[in-house]
Amino acid sequence: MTNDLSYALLEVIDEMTPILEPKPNVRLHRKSPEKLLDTVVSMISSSQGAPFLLNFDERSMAGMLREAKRAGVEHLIHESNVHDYASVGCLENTMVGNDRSGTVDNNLNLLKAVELALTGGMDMLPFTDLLTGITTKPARVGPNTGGAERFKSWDEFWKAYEEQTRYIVRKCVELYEMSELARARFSPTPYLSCLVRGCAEKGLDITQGGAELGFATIEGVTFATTVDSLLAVKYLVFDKKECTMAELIKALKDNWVGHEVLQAKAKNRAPKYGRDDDEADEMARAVMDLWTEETWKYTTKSTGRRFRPGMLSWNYWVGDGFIMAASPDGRPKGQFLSNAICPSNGADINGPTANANSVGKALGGKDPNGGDWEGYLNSLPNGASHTITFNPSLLRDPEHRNKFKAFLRGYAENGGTALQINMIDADMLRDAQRHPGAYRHLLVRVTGYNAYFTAIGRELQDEIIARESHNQY
Amino acid sequence: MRRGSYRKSPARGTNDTMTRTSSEGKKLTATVLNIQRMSTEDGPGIRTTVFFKGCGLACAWCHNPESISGRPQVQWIENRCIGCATCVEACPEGALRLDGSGMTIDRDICTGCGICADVCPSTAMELLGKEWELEMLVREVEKDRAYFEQSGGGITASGGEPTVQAPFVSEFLRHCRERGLHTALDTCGYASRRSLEAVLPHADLVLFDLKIMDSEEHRRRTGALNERILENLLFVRDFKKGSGRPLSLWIRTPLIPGATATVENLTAIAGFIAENLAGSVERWELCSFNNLCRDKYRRLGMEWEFQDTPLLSRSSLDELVEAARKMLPDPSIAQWTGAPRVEKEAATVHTKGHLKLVKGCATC
Repeated sequence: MTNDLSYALLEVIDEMTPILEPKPNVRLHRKSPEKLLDTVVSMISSSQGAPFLLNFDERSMAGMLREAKRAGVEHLIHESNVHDYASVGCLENTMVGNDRSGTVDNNLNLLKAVELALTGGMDMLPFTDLLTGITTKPARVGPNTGGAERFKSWDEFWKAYEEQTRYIVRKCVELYEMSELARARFSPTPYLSCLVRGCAEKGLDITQGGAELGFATIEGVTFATTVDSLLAVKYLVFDKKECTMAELIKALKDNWVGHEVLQAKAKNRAPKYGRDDDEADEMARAVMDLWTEETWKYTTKSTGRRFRPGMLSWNYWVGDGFIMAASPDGRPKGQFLSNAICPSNGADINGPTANANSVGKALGGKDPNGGDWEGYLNSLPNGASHTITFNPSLLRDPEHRNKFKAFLRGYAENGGTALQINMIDADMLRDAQRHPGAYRHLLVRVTGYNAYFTAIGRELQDEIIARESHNQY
Repeated sequence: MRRGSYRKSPARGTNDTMTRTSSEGKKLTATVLNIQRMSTEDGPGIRTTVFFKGCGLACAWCHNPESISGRPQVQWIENRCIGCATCVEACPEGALRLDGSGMTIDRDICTGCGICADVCPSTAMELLGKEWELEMLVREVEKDRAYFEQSGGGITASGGEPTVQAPFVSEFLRHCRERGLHTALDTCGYASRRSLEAVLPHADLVLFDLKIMDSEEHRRRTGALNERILENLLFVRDFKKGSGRPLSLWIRTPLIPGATATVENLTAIAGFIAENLAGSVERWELCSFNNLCRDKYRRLGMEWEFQDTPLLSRSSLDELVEAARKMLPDPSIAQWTGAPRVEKEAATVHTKGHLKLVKGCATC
């Protein structure tokens, strides 16, 4: 529903920009009026990036209906009230007035299951505690699925990965139970409990599971790095036989040092999620199905809250990159992991539409025979954070702003649930000069001519940066 | 991208030889340089532009020099190279040499077989020009249907010169149109009548280049006289009138300093449009010179006359458009696009610079 209040709020946001927190959220849907889109696009173009998150209703509501079905709360979330959802935190969709779902209760690093599948349940590297300086040997942390060196086929590897994923989800749920229990016993929130329907009726505090709706959440961290790593294992070891499993594991333990050719193949030759490549996106889909279905299986024992999946990665995709061993996608230890549902840095070389299509497919795509809501499917009711970087030349005149508007409408059809818009600026281009590998997707576009920024010479790069600094596109 | 076997065909401009049937069946294939998705510069709306390889002209300023030859070519992208020399060992012709100064490709020996690109672990060796089957290409471009529908966009066949591969391109556009996708043909106009006749019925829009009106000067700069191009333009006009369906026509002129970007030339083109095309042309785009392709020439081992040519200033662009508009019955059809030279005073345009702080929220 868009009305005068919508525009008044947007005006306030515009006046207060830059607002870092809280991040305002604008909901868009297939039938959003042109005027709203015009306002949104004009704000994006004047601020060189979106001063708000965009939430897309159709796929978001599909997620809400899926959680209703999975948790057996269809009397509370159904077709006739699902439009009444709201985003909490940043993009975590919840119902209004009776819903106290967690936003970021758990951050589960999905990539760990790949590591455990490679090692048969052991940590790949010894761990050094930075505070004490004490190093512990690699320990058994997951089930013994056998050393991957012995696997004869991709299917065997996938089965080990499945088992390790089931294990890390269970482990995460068990750990969370302790804090849930502690909060329920020792940390009541009576004021909040008075405001949320269900608590008074049941005589239970929110922390005890009093709200009518209250999901606990697991956020999947580093989805794309996980998918790309699986794709690389399949490509390098089984499909192309570029190396043996033992060689790959050795390279990872050595942090790729001395294995640069294999690393280059992993980075550049293996398929990647985010390119609208059906083979790669099928892997994304399989990974998504596996971990989300596993998540739905659990309910907190102490408070009876069903777990639901989401992806916003918080900041863990940065920090975990320094803890996690090198990954089969070519990433060395110490390099950032992928963020939320976004493709790995620089992997989306086919542009924004391909990137958005991959994200939509990873969430389930569409099912003409119904889906969760009006044909849309959504595996992540707790939201899926997606950031796309655009070239500001796309917003340079009314004709191009209309094209950008159409992109947003296309995103509502094919894309995910929540989008942040970033604009290329001079700082980003300077960073791309220093780290070309992370910016292979960066396209410079000037009238009928385009080039990848990192594939042009230094001198011209400097010229483009100068141009960008002067807003001269 | 999918790649079949590599074809060794004559260098350029020989119509129809670009398209062939493969040995295993009757599948049409074409040599495609690049597929650009979310293109916003090649016609209305959001488009997927397919760059077909091979062109009959060889314009001195060409921004896609890798599109001129119909043959697949290899190039080396230095900042991707890890120096493993896998390509050097794999090259069956011994055409590659890697040393401290970089990669040397002996273009006299290189057959464009693409083996170096196949084995390169880091994609530093790149094969320009890949074989695409019709069905695969149609499936590929259809992926952005949702964005086309929302924007009034579609497919643009560009190049190179797409009519060089006319049998494929006409089938390609026909299939796209049958699937309800808007189609555009981006042509330099240097095409055989037969090729144009094959492709035009399947286009909803023609983007037609008019570069230089003086025919001798045209030959000096592009390698060919312009008579055939002008005749073809009139043919498109007549086809549009006689086709009984909507067909749009846009003219495009690259503004190249010292070559096309003179008041005399633009006045002459405007005069031709006024005299022959009034009411038939919806838009005339004057595309400002840019130098982003400098490295492409270097990588292909080619000299480029415009190596050090500065970009046009905003005021000279305005002046050129003004001169062009004077001659037109409907001046509003002419507009310049692209990037002017960076001028110091432009810094003041950047009024909301502080807003750069608003980056994607790192937490979610």
